[in-house]
Amino acid sequence: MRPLALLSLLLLLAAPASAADKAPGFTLRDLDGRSVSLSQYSGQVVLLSFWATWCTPCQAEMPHLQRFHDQYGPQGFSVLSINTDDARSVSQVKPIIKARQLTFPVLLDRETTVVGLFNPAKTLPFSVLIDRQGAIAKVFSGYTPGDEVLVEQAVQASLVQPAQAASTP
Amino acid sequence: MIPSLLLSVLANPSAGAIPVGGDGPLAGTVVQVNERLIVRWYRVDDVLENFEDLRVLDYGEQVDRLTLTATKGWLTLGVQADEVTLFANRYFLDEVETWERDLLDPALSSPWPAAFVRLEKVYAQAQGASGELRLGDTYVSFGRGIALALVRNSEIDIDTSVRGARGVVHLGAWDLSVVTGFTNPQQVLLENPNLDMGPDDLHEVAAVRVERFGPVAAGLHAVTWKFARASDDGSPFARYGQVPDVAVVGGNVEASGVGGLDLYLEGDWFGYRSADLFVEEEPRPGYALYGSTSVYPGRFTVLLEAKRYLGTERMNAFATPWGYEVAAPPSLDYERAITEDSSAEVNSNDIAGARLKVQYAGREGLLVPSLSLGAFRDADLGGLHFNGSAETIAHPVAGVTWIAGDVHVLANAGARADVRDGDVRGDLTLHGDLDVVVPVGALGHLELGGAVLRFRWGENDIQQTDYWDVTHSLALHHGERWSFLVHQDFSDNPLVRSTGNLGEDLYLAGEVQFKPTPAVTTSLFAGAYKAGIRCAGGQCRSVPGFKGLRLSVEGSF
Repeated sequence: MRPLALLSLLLLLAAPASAADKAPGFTLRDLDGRSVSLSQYSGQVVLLSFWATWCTPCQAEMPHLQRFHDQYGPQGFSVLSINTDDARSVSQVKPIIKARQLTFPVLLDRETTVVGLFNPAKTLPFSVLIDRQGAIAKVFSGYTPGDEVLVEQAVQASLVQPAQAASTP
Repeated sequence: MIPSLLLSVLANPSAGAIPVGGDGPLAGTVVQVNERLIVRWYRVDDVLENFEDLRVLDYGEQVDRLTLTATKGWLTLGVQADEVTLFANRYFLDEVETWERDLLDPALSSPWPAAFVRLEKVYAQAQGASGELRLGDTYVSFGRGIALALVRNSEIDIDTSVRGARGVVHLGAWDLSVVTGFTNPQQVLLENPNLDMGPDDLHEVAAVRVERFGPVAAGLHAVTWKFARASDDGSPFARYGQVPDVAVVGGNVEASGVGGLDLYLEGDWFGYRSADLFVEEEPRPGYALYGSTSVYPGRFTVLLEAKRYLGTERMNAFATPWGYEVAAPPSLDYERAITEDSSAEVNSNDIAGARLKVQYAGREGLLVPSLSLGAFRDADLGGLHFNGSAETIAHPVAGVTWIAGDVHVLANAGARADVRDGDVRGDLTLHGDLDVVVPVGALGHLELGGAVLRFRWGENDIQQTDYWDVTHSLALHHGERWSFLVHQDFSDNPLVRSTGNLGEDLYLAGEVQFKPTPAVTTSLFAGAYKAGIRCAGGQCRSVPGFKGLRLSVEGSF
């Protein structure tokens, strides 16, 4: 334990408690094969939501994400749903999205490359809130009922921040 | 480790990434940290003869996984370092130190006898508008995973990467991908005991894929494998000059939303050259055909999938003994009902079948009943099959998802009947699973989750007894930080190799979870859970049971 513990201790102690820098960029295909990049959402508040078809709490969280998408979309907010099903079950993704009548963009991370960038442990569901400056503002791991209140508060806080102020330490 | 976690939480309570400040060359680099620490105390049923009153065989295990990614502009560097330590795994008997449990296979060296530290994954990735290059550990999946599928499936402790190089070139609507390297299975496990870990088998893969994207997409791919043998000597790179054990070529077409229809078709041909992949047979080719289509009339969604596989699973023969697969075609089966018996059908080398699933969007998508019917013809009589007859399998499953404010209900129930040729009684499986959440005022939310399976054996070569398999848990989620859980399992399946703490077949456990921040979860678990097959993302593995105490901390920073 000691070598790893020492390394993480040094790293985490060295971390300044200031605003984060830009989130890593990525490009994925959506359900219709179109290429979608995080950079296309520059200047918006974005919630990256990682999920899979077999993840029960993910399905319970989805209606709340849809409400955020509808309610805060006009203010410059978007949900980017990132599905982590691999190739074997990916055919079930679009039917589930259609049946739940979800309208936010759904991207396919079939090779687990993007989930590896943000959430290497692949805990599901897992959400990353990115502010207008493109910085990671908050991370949410797992979902239990009531967690959507925390997410909504964080979304509201990010939306009221002006784009320039968001990067000020 | 715990102090470092707590310090990080206190120092950086909200941000999900750590920027490197200053004006130096690392300025602007974003470092992301994910860490998971697990400490387990195993209570062992066996006792040492003549020392029955002393629990000297109980032992402890501590596992740590630290993942770091650093991104600056177009360059990302990533490492995953794992460490595992056994403690209290030895005792002195007549002044002689006895190791009851070994952490490492003697073929695997470690600077510490009771600890193992390993750089499990390491990579550098350069990404630009015209393509990407990744050196080190990479993941790859072609088409529907029939020819090649090596991706993270950490939910069930499977994370096999290709350690080598991968390049992708974007040419307008075209992508060209090339990957080559050796398999790198993850050795240190988070959920399963780490005992007698041995060195990796370095299977060599080379693969190429050309893909065109758009409303109508198409792809062609080729994959070769050269599998490592126990008799190998010398450098694994020598394998590059050898004839492949298997070569796969395939292609697919996909239409999205064309005329309101989604369509996917894939065909793969497997050219086997090595007799090591066959048991008492000469190598012969295999093939796979897979198709899916979905339509969305009104409030309905209809998904139809069909498959025909002959000799496709043979390619996994060198990997499955070590708990992973190098390719895994869609099984079309319901994951939560896969048993020791039905896993043979999932891995069949001679099977055809289809599954139809219909969902209805009621109450604006908040009430979604579903019905699916799978039907398969399994003619593979070898491998894991317990019987000597070809069988026809029917598997209907009904389900519902209902979400109304703070209340949600997800439920599924199904029956799988295996009908054998020749008037031989087949197996029957009845199964159901449920997840219900209701608010309970100021206390928070109450969640009941569970699954039940009843299995009736048919006439088999190895006759077993019918069994029940039940798993359920009751959780109280109090506020945003606390959850209190009680887990109870029951299984009288003779193939399940674990025993309960409330009797031979009954398991009870309690768990408290605390989230100091939304990104950090701590858990204390005491009790037992049963062994069994656990599936996630189309892959399954047999997970051992557990009896004892477990403390875990997981967080992202």
